[in-house]
Amino acid sequence: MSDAALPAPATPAWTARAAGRLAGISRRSPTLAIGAAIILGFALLAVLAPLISPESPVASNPARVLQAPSAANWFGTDGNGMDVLSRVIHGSLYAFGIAIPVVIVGLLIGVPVGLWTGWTGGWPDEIVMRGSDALRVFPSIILALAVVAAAGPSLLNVVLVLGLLDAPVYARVVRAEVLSLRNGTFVEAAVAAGNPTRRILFRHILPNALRGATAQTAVRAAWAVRISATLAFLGVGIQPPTPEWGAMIRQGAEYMVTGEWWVAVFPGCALILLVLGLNMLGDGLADLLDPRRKAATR
Amino acid sequence: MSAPVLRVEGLSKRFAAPGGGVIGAVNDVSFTLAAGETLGLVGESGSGKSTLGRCVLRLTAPSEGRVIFMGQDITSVPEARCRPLRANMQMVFQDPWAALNPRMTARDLIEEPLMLHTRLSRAERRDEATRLGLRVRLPSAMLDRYPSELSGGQQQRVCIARAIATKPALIVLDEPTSSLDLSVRAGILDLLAELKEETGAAMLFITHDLGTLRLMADRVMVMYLGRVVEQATAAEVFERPAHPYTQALMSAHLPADPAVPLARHVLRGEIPSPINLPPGCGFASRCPVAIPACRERLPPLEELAPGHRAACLRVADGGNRIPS
Ligand SMILES: Nc1ncnc2c1ncn2[C@@H]1O[C@H](COP(=O)(O)OP(=O)(O)O)[C@@H](O)[C@H]1O
Ligand code: SF4
Ligand SMILES: [Mg+2]
Repeated sequence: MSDAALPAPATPAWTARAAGRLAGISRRSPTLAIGAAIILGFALLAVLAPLISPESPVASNPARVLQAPSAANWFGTDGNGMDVLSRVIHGSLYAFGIAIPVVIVGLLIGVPVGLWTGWTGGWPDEIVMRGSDALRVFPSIILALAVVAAAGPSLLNVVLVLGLLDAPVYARVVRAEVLSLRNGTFVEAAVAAGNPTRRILFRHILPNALRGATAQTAVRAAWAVRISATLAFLGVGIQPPTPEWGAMIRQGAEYMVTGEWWVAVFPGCALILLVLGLNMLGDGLADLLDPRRKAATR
Repeated sequence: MSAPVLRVEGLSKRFAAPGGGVIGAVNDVSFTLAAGETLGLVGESGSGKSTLGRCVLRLTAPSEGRVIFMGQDITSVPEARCRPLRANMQMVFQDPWAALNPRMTARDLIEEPLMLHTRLSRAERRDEATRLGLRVRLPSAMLDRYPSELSGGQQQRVCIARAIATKPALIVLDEPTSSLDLSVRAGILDLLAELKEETGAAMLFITHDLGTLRLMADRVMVMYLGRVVEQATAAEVFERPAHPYTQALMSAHLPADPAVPLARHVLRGEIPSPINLPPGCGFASRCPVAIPACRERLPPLEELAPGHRAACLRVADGGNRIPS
C-alpha cells in the first residue's frame, strides 16, 4: 500500500493523457468509437449478466407462457415461460464466449502458418495457400454445418471448427506482410548483426507482421457471432434451452406467424447490434492501423 | 606487414534480369583491406557497390570468386557457421530508418549485438549500451525511444552504435550519410572519422561524395558497371587520377546531393544498362578519349605505379588524359 504513494502524482496525468488519446481517436474515427461503445455495452451485459438479469435465463414457468412484453417481463416470455430479457442478457455471454475463443484459435493457427509459409516460400507455401483458397471458395457455413453435425453440437466443437475455418484469413494477411518484410533492410540488418533465424522470425518479423491480423480480429469476431448463431438457428450448434441468440431466434421463429413476435425479435436485435458494433470497430481499426487506407478513403 | 583483414579474389555476382538476360552487378573484383585501413568505394549508382558490400559480408552469396575474412574462406560457409564471425564484421546501411526494427527501442537495438555475441549479463549490457550511446552522442534519455521518435541523424547514430558494439575488425558502410539531411551529415562524418581512429576497424566505405572520400579513405577503389576501373591511395586518386572515368569524377566537383548524376559536367550519355554487357571497356560509350580497340578488348587492371592500378587501354600510349 505504501509504495502506491510514489506513482500516485503521475496517475492523474496518465489518465488525462489516456482520455485525451481516446478523445482524439473518437474524433478521427467515429466509426471506431461507436463500434467500441456498442461492444463495451454488450461486454458489460455479459460480465454483469448474473447480477442484472431479472431472472434465471432457464427458469421455466408454465403459468406465463408466451406473454407479451409487460412491466413484469420487459421483453415478454417465451414458449417455456422463460423471461426473454434475462435470456437476451445471458446470450451476450455466449456470443463473446464463442467469438473470443474462435478468434484466438484462428490466430493461434493462422499466424504461425502465415509466418512459416511467408518465410520459407516454395512448396509449403504453395500447398498451404492452395488449401486455404479451397477453404475460401467453399461456403464456410456449409463446411461448418457438415463438420459440427459430424463432430457433435458442443460449444467446444463449434469454437474449434470456426477457428480452423477462420485461420486462413489470418495466415494470408500475415504471410503477405512477412513476404514484404523478408527482403527488407531491417531484416538484412538483423542477419548482418548475427541473429539466428528463430530470433529474426520472432523478434524482427513477427511483431511487424501482425498489423493486418489485428485489424481483422473484430470483423472476424463478427463473422464468428453470425455463423455460430446461424448454426444454432439451423439446429446444429448450441441447443436450447441454452440462452444463445441463434437458438432463441429458432425457437421464436415458429411463433412469428401467430403474432408472438417478441420471442425472436429481441435476440435478433441484440445479434444485429453486436455484429454491427464489431464490424464498425473492425473498420475503424483497419483505418487506424493502416494510414494508407485512411488517406485513400478521406 | 600483418595479414589483411579481408581479401577478395575475382569476385563476381550476377542476377537474372527480370526480362531475361543476366545482370553482371559485380565482375571480377579483387582487393585486400588491411587492419585499420579504410577503403573508399566510389562509383555511380548501379555500379555494384552495394552488391559488393553484401557479398563481402556474406549477406548474399557471390556467383564466383572468394572472400577471405581474417584468414578464413567464408565464400561458401553456411550461414549458421558465419554467425559467430558476424561479431567481427558489421554493416551500416544507407537508410537508417529502413535498417532499424520499428518495434525495438534504441537501447534494444544497441544491446542486440552484445546479446548475440558476448556473455555480458543483462546489467552489463545495459551499461555498455549506455556507454555506446554516449560514444555516438546519443544521450541516454534517447535510448528508450523507438526509431520513429528519433531524427534521421539519431537513427544513424543508433546504427553506428550497433555496428561498433562488438568491436568488429571490419565495418562496411554503405553510403551512411547519403539519406540524411545536409545539416546532420557533417556530424555523422566527424563521428565516423573519430571512430576510424579510435576503433582501429578496417572499413569499406561506400560513398558518392568526394569530400567524404577525402576525409575518410586511405585508399580508393573506383567502380564502373561492376568492374574496378582504378585503385590507388586516396592522395594518388585525387592528384593523379589515371582512368578517364575517375578524371571525370574528379573534375566534376561533385555536388553533395546524390540525386544529381555524378560527373554531369564531363560525362555525356547515360551509364549503359548492366544487362548483357557488350565486350570491351564498359566506359567506351561515354569515354572522350576512346579508340576503336576499346570496344573490342577488355582493358586489364594494370599497375602504373606501386599501389596504383587502372583499367584503361590508353594508359600505355599516354592518351588517357582527358584534355581540359
Ligand atoms: N537483388 C537483386 N536482384 C536483381 N538485380 C539486382 C539486385 N541487387 C542489385 N541488382 C542490380 O545490380 C546492379 C548493381 O546494384 P547495386 O549494387 O545496388 O549498385 P550501387 O550500390 O552501386 O548503386 C544494379 O543494376 C541493380 O539493379
Ligand atoms: S579503355 Fe578506352 S574507353 Fe575505356 S576508359 Fe580507356 S580509353 Fe576510355
Ligand atoms: Mg547502393
